[in-house]
Amino acid sequence: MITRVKLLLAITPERVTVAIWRTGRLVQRLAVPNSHEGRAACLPVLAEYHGMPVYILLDTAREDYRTELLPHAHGQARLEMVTRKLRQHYGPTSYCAAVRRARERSGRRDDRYQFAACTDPALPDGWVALIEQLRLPLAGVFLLPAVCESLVRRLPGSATNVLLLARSHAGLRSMYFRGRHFELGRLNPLPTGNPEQRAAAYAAEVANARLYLDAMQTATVDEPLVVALLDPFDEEVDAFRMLAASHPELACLHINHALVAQALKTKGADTRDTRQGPDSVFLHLLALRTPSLNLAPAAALEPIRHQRFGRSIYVSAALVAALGSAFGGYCWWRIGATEDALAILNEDRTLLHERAARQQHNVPDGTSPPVFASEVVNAATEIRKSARAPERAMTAVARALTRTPEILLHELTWKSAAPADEQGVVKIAADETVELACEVRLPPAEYRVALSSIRAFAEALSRDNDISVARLTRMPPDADPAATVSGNTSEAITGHTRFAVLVTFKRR
Amino acid sequence: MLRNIRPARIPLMVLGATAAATAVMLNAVVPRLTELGRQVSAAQADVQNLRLKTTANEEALARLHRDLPAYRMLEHSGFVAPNDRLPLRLALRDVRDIARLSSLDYRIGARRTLPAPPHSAASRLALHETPVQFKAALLHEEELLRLLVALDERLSGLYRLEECMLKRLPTSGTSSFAANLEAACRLVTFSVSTAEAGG
Repeated sequence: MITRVKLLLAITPERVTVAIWRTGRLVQRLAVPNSHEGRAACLPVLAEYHGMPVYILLDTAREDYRTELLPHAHGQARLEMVTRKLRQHYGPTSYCAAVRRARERSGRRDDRYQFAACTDPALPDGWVALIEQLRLPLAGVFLLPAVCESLVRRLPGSATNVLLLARSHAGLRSMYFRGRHFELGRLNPLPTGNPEQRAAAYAAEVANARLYLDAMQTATVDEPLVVALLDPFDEEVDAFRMLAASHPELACLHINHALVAQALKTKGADTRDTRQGPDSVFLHLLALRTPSLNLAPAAALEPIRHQRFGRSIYVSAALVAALGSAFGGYCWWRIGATEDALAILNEDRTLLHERAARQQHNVPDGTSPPVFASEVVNAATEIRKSARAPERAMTAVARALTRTPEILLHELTWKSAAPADEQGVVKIAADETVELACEVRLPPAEYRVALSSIRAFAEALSRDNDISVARLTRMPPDADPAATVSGNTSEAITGHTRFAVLVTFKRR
Repeated sequence: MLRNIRPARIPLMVLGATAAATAVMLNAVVPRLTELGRQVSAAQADVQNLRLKTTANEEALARLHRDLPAYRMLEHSGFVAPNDRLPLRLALRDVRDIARLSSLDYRIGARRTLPAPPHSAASRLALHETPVQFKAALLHEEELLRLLVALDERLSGLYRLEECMLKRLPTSGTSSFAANLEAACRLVTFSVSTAEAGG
């Protein structure tokens, strides 16, 4: 989390620079000697910034870095192992730290750790004590090479192995970054003389640094390397040019003021003040990005933890309040809308009740109970629909009888529905049937004529427009193969010519 | 990890107070909203029922106004009335006179209540039918038609002729006024009553 206001201390064995970093700028700056007097001079300045987090940058030769492989572990086991290693490497100093950089891809797949320490605890101790005395929260103690990591990450190009040469209050720093992580560093006296001499000094330092890296088994001498010269004040332009010209085998990069400004601007810093002093660039870098290698003892970090914890609780409280207020507001809005809807519904309900009451008044008097009236009318209509009279049937039969005068009607049975069979199933879709029992009035010897009269009568019935079917259901015995006939051959053939017809009428 | 939380007591108190205030506010608001939602649901159901009821009432009222004259006529005709036998017997006597028949034998059967059709709206309405059979001696066929016209005139209420049989009688040859035909008919008369009235 980037705190928008930070108190920065750059501590070297000789002097201390105190700066206030506010929204990307170093707004106040005070340089004092690293002594009791210096601390006393800083006291009123620091006291003004109660509650502001303090970041300490150590620029000293009394520092140590090493990279080591440790078995892969988690949680408490890892913490104990790293703590044991720190104690083993750095003994009494409390300003040490380790960070896990990567995991090996082969073998036991150990974890690669980087260890760092300030081997001169007296250097920051006095200032840390002063900070504790003023109850300022210490955010961390960082070594200068670790701070430079963020600058190397923002350099143009894709080089991963960089040897950064930087001038600081302590001297000329040569810092080797592999994979843009700091690995090893050296501190030498600042080169002096004319640009040519300084270029020679830089070249010598590059050669020595490569030999040192090779000796420390960090990088081989012939490994591709980018040599970057940090020159925020553009003082080493000539020296850099000579260096690059005299050593064409080196890939050189001049990190001048413009490049520094570009790198810092991309992180939101105002770079107008980068010329205030040699350490202004490092202070900016420290303010912009907190390195992971924090050497501050755990106890010294308690106040900042409390402060951050408190702030996170305040943020949580604000979130709870905001969410609660938002939800409460939404609920109030819903209550308002629901009350409006309820009022409309109640109004509707009242209107409907009134309408129902008016309907009761509109019921005609003397109809008790009135709802039955329509049902009674419906029932009567249905009955009337099904009512039939035999006039049509009798007229049709009379028409057929007129055409066949030899037919004598004995019996006529009219039914208002089609006859059902034994199972009660109506097979003919009709609503009127007539059964006729008739006789042909002819002498018995002329039974053939009688039969043709019967057929003519049935045909006359069938042709009638009102009749659907006329079917002979019973024939005289001599014409009915199903009938049993008996007699004596010595006698004349006699017999009656009675028959029956079932007539089905068309639907009306 | 923090070794003690004493320095954070004020932020924690602020958080607690905020959470408590939020909880109190929500506790006041949410039940009210729930209750209102319940009331709205009930009111919506109530309004919907009332709307359906009033619409149905309006339709029924419109039907009632439309059918009321026909109902009055049916009421007047005796279709909506206690089904007494006496009016029926008197009507049959009138039929005999109008049709100028010498006699008319009749048999009025027991009244039956017809089963209500399924999903009938008028479940409290009972429809009854009474079977009637009559027999008459006729001189000729036209007398049957006259008899039926007289039935239509005199029989109050609704009826349905179901069967009519016309049978030629054996000729005696003694008198020209002797009946030649015999007619036998079967019909049912209908009446309605409410279930409460019991017919």
